[in-house]
Amino acid sequence: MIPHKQPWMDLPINAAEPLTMHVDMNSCFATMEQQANPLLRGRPVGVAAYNAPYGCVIAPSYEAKAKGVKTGMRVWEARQLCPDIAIIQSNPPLYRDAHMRFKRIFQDYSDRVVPKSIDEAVIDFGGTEQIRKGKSLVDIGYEIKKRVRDEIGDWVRVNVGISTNRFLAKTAAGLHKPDGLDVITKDNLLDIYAGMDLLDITGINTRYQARLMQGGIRTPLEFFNAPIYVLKKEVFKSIVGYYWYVKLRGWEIEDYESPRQTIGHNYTVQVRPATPEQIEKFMMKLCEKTGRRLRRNSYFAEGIQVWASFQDHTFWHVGHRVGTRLYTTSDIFHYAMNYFNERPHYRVITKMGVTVYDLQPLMPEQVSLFDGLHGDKNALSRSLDAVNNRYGDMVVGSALLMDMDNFILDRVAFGSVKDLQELYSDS
Amino acid sequence: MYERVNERVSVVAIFRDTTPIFEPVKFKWKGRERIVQKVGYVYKYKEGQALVHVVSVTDGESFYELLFDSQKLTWTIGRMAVNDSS
Repeated sequence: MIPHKQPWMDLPINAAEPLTMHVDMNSCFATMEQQANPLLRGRPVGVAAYNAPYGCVIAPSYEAKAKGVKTGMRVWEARQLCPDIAIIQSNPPLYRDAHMRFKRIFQDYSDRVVPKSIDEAVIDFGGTEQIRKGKSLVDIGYEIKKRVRDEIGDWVRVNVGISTNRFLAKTAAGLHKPDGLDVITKDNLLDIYAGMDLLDITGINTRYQARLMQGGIRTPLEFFNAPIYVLKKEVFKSIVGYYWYVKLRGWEIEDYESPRQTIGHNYTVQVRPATPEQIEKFMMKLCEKTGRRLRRNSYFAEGIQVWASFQDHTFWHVGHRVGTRLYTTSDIFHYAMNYFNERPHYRVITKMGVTVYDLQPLMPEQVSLFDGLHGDKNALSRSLDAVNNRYGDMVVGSALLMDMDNFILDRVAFGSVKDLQELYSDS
Repeated sequence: MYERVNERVSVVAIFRDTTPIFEPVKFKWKGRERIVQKVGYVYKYKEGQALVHVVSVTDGESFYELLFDSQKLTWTIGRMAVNDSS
């Protein structure tokens, strides 16, 4: 608990015992590919959503990173920097399996495990039996590292960070990659900040860095020493300044999980230019994936957005509240295609996506007297999902989805926590 | 890098009462017997209701993904890759 004390600028560094642990497996997807295929170990590897020149490298291995390959680069750029790189198309079931093993290990130590993404989690040790028995968190950290090697794979290394809040625990985990274990306490916090740049701070990107610089803050230590009114009124101009002030001092501010607000899917178009028929098929597949995720989470949506980026590096999007409940794939597709047809047709699409928003929990709805089929359509959608869950994806679906096996592949959300819930419900 | 094979294959595997519960020892593909040198990882996924166990192995020269369909009790080579590193 943050001590309730005024003024805020007197807030001290949190001196409590560090009981928050952050564990992450860097280059998770690439590491898991190297674990599965021992012939790839020690070689530069890039995991890409699509193994095509314009595919995006979503996880370079440490060896590839050493040669300058970065997450988000195009495959052709990675090959230019690192000609011997092995590009592997992503294999979501492998990463999901690793994530589940990862989580099971952590749950042996605490019932408060919060996955932050597919390859990182926060473990709250407050009040756990381990701590009550006087076991040190550092010993537990080393034990977790050993168990990861024994139970996931001998090539897999994790970084462990321990501190008083999630932010500092993550910072600690990033200090000695790829196999570090560090603790940040009130005693070494300022030394740690003194050895960092602004961009080394989790959550500070170049945009925030520029804002901080504008406010005369050039280093993490200056950031730490900045008065709250400067952060709140001059730098961030919002409550965000207060959040930074508190978490830089080791107090917890991130233990609130916001409810899910959108569900969507996108696709990098490999056929350029794609014909209108192909675009329609891609859109149907995107809507089917979005719709199934919506239904699996028992939501309906009231808004929809479609978007496209083009070969000339321009971007187009349109979004509307539709005044009806979006639940079935066919309803989502109907609105998505209507809006998508407003796009500038003369441009070549490189990426397209659909997102539904204004999500509401699905409750029994008042069926309109004049639209008796609406409820039946919802039930039919759920039945089709059940058939596809039982016999395999897309066993039953729109005719537009025929011969689409090689398009819009299974993907794994490596930055999002929300989709992990689907993972747990499947297991 | 990887080549999709999707061919049935004959496999000799050990089933143990300790972990790892099962492990392929050798398999015959394209008329040649290949001895498993190392198992990289074993995981499973659902294809409809069928549970498919994926065993990633190397014979020292190449990498193979051996898929065991627990419903049909068949082994298939899913993907393979030749070791092209010098």
